[in-house]
Amino acid sequence: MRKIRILNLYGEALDLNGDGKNVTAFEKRIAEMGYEYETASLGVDEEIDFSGYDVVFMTHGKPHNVSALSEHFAKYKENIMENIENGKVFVVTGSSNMLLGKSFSMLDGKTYEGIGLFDCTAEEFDSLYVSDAVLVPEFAPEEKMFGTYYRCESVKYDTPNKNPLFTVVKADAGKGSVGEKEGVRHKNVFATWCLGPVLVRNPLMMKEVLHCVLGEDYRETDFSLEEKAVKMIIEELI
Amino acid sequence: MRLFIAICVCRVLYFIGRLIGKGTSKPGDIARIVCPAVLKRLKFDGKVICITGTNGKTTTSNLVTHMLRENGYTVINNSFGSNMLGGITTSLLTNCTFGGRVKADFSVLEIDERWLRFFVKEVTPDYVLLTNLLRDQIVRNCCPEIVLEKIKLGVTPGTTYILNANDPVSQQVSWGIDNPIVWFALGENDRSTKECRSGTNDAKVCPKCMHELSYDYYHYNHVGSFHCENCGFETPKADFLGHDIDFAGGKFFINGEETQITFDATYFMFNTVAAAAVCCSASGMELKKALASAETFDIGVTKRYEEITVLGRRCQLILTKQNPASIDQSVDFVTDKESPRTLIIISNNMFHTERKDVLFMYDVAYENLKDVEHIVIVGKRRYDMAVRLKLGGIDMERVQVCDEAEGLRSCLEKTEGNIYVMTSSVFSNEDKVLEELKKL
Repeated sequence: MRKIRILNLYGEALDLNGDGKNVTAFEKRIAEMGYEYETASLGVDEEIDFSGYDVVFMTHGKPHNVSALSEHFAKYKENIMENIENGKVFVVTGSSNMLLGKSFSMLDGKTYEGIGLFDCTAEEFDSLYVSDAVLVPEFAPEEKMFGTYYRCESVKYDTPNKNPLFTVVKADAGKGSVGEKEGVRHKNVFATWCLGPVLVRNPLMMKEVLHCVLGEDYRETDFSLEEKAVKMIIEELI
Repeated sequence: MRLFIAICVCRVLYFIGRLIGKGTSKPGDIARIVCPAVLKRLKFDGKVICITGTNGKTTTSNLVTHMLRENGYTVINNSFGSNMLGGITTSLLTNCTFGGRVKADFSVLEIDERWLRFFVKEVTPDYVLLTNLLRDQIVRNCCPEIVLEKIKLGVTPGTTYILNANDPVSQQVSWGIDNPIVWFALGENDRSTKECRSGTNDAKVCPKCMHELSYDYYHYNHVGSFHCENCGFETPKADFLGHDIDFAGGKFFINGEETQITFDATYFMFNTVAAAAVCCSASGMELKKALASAETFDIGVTKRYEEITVLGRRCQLILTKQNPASIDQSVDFVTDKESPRTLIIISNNMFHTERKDVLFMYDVAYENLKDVEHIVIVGKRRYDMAVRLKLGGIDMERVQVCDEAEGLRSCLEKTEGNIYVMTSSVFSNEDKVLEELKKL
């Protein structure tokens, strides 16, 4: 039986607002499809080889924690880049995105290096941008998803983002807002500033990630309850 | 003169407000326009005690006030007003002389944790009690560390900080300051767990070095006894320790002094230890006297756990805040009850903003409801709650999603046992659910 190896990177340090439940939901779907899985939650005291996993989750965390992890993460820059270019599936939500950009600066005045996969920088500010959002994913342009943004960072792309993950149909304006296009889809990297249980609540994205990980081994499972819940929200928002 | 006018304006507006049932913030807000930084001009004869934190500040403020009064001290507090600057200003200006003198032995002020830094610009408290810092109202607070930073911005020289030794987040207030610190804590007891039972733990990693934080036991969430094997960060030794808790016998000890458990909840025991630490430190009263007065305190349990009869069955309403620790405690309250149980969960959008994210439900350990026999979900976010329960491994055969409040009767007729209603809001007839329940 096929066994899926999941890496919940820094899962102990990055687990704010229910993001960790994306991993739980993913595990459950794998099990429902009849496959085994094994999940590793690795932290700063471990050595990491990304090639040993089928999918890597990097979830939203406290700004302080993200900055404290940056040095450890940067050690694996080459290994990460190589795995991404070879098609490794990465699901990156919320503030973890800062680790994939060029650099980010925090309110304490310090600047931290990212691995530079994305051509952007982030800057923490002293308030919070909060918005519900309706999103059209690039992988299903006829469909809609629900997203949530809680952000105390503004993000600047040095060159235009050529591979956005979402078109933002509806979201609030304000400092830290995400603009008309959001996120990055690069090969099998799904990166979004949406946070929380993005995969749990959006069957569209969960299915897409599962397809990428499982390929032809993907099997249908029942998403009717999740679809009903998200449809209700989107109808209320539009 | 401005001070005098501000006090007069505040009192007149407060009096009118009471007559027409309006809130207590506005008089203080307007007084602050008349006389900016009005609190700076007050003269306190006694000591100022600020009580802040995520959970327990209202109860602890009321308990401290009660304990001090029972021991003969005069106390003013803001129990009738809001805990932000306007409400606190109203409380103080309606309790001072027209010359701005606050004569009470103690001013016990509950303060919103984000507003403390503004208050201390005008008044230097003698004592600040921080009950705990937990995940709460993410729209405002993002995470406990953001609130921690705000509190640290308000650290004033000379103030004594009374901190929760079991809370690795609020402990960080003590980092890099020279202020006197008094630590309070609760020892291991029958309800402590080796694994975190709560939906969230905001200190899985050491805040100093990011290595895994080891826990000897948990009380709830990240509150417990901890140490970091990498850098030595650990639970500090408590100056006031609750210990030898005998739930069955209804008693426990603080620093060797016996006291009764007047309300059987871990968080209330924390409140009692914290209140004892405040009273003994601030007034010098004997611990024995402090605890004797605590035993006569009425927590107002009927307000939080109101009971009604529904379809001839006992129905208990459980008031929770929209914060994970509060809801986790309500989940435990239900799971501790006798079987069979029927739980009604009212699941709505976020308070005030009507945002639909309701992320907080993913920070609650709804998994612990797995043995509850019947669950009925109502409210605007009922299907989101159903998704959450399904993810938590709850047997969905036990779960009914009720689309209309009017359909509650037919849902409840399929259930048995006492009914518990968990609502993440104040009891304001959310979605007519409570109104409908009371008709059944």
